[in-house]
Amino acid sequence: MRRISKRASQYLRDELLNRQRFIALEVNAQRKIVSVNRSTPEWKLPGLNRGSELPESLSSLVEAAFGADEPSVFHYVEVGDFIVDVHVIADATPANVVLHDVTKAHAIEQALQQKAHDNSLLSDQLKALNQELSELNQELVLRRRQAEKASNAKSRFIASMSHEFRSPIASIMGYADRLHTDFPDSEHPAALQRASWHLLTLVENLLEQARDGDDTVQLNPTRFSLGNLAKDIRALFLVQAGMKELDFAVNLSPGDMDVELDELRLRQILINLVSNALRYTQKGRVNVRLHHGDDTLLIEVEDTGLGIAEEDLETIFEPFTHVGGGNTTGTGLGLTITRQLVKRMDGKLKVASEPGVGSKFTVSIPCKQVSDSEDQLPPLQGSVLWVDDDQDILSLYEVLLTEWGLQVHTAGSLSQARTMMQRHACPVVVSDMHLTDGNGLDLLRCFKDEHPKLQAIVISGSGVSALGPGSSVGGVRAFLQKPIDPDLLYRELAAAFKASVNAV
Amino acid sequence: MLSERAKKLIARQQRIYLESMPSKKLAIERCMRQVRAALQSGETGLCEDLFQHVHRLAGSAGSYGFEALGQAASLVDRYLIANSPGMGNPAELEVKLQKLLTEIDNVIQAGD
Repeated sequence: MRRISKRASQYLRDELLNRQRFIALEVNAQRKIVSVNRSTPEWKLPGLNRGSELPESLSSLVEAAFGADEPSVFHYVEVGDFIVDVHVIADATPANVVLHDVTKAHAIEQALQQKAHDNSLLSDQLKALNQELSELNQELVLRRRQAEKASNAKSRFIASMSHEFRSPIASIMGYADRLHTDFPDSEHPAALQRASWHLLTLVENLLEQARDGDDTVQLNPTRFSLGNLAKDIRALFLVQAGMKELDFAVNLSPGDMDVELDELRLRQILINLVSNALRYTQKGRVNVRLHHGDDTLLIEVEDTGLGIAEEDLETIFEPFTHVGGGNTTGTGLGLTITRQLVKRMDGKLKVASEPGVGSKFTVSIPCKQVSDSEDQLPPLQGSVLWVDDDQDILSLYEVLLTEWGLQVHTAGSLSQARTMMQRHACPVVVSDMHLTDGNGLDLLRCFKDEHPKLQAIVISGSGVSALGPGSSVGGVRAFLQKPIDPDLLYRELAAAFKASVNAV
Repeated sequence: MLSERAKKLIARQQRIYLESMPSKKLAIERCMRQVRAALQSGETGLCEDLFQHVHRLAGSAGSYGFEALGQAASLVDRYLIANSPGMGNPAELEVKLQKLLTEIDNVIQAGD
């Protein structure tokens, strides 16, 4: 047998023989196999026997590689059930042919290729899904903007309508008040007033809902009699309770007294709770208790109505919600608004209920009793800066405040106000909110930084609700609305000067 | 709360305020003419001068005790605020402004 060349020998050692399972053949010029060597005796390929003719599939490869200086390699050649790499060294005769079993490697490679293909498909699908997701997100953003726009429009509409309702109701109340003065013995004007309060509450409920958690809306505390309030609530609902033959009582303890709270909001809370109790009570009683003690007003509204299941105790405070099988003619806003109002008044609202037995709503609101001695306000003394771009307003209040004993400085613009403040360092500043050259709130905030003890009062022509969400009201002790009630202005100024003296 | 002296002082201020009413009316009428001309030429933006005159009147009239005038001015003021930066429906605005002018006339006549 002819020895293979040194280079071929080196190649066989380095590239082939170190691998497992191969068959080495020597093939003569007639393409007959002259010798067969197997790395693994049991591995046999069909037609590869000494003396037999090289199968056509291999013969063509030898033919192609014949005479080449370098070994030729043919990958993944199918021989019988196997896949082999065929190495042909045919620079001399006989040619050497080595078949290396790569069946497993080929299968793995095919599996990898399949996987890569699958991955490519998945990647395409993922891209398509991402694109779809991105489009959906854009659509979502668009829809959300549209929804927000619609919601804002709705809120503006409700607020505007509620505002329009207020004026005629206030007018009705005013005339009812005049009638009551003219005909003190008649019950009709008082009934008219109570019904107006009720109507006003419904309008205020809508307005509250439109504000939707706008915490910048300020309360308007005034002095009023709890006794009168209790009487009004009793009279307002007496007929309704009588129609259902319910026992209905409103009790006040320890007795009549004046307190300082936002009377409208307090009435709103009571009307909401009592009308709710009457709506869901078909027999038995509805009791309302008002008690003042420890600087807290406690309100309890207890009924023997349908009661509320435990799982509904939170749901009842959601807007437009009716639970149980009772009459559902209400707007479904009463309890939602009540909770918002109680929270705004720094109070707490609790509910205890048992289905079929009844419910008890308890509200506690911090408030002080106001006595006549406390109501005597001290004379005003000190200097005040009044900022307004309306000369008519400046003239009027300069005269009035001077008459009240104050030293009044006026400014018609932000820059004038700054100059006056530098010159006089007034402890109290009153400013219109919307000035021609800027915002009164910003001015007061700026002054407050320079003069921490400063007491600031803001006047607005368009209502405190015009502050809007996000407006900071920090450092402002009071908001007054034009036209300014002189009594209220006097009280606020007195309180402001007192606070400026006490400020640390 | 208001002393007799304070009431007299306010009454004096009211007279001064009343005396300024014709010039306020003229200023608003001038703005209305500007607004009409602007609307005819296709401009719909808020007329700042008109807004300032009306806004001040809405703020001051009530404080001087002219509540009906204050309310009429407030209606225009709120309408302009609600429709800002535009001026809303020209016909609606015109009706509100005419009502405001009527209230100004009422105040002037009552003061005569």
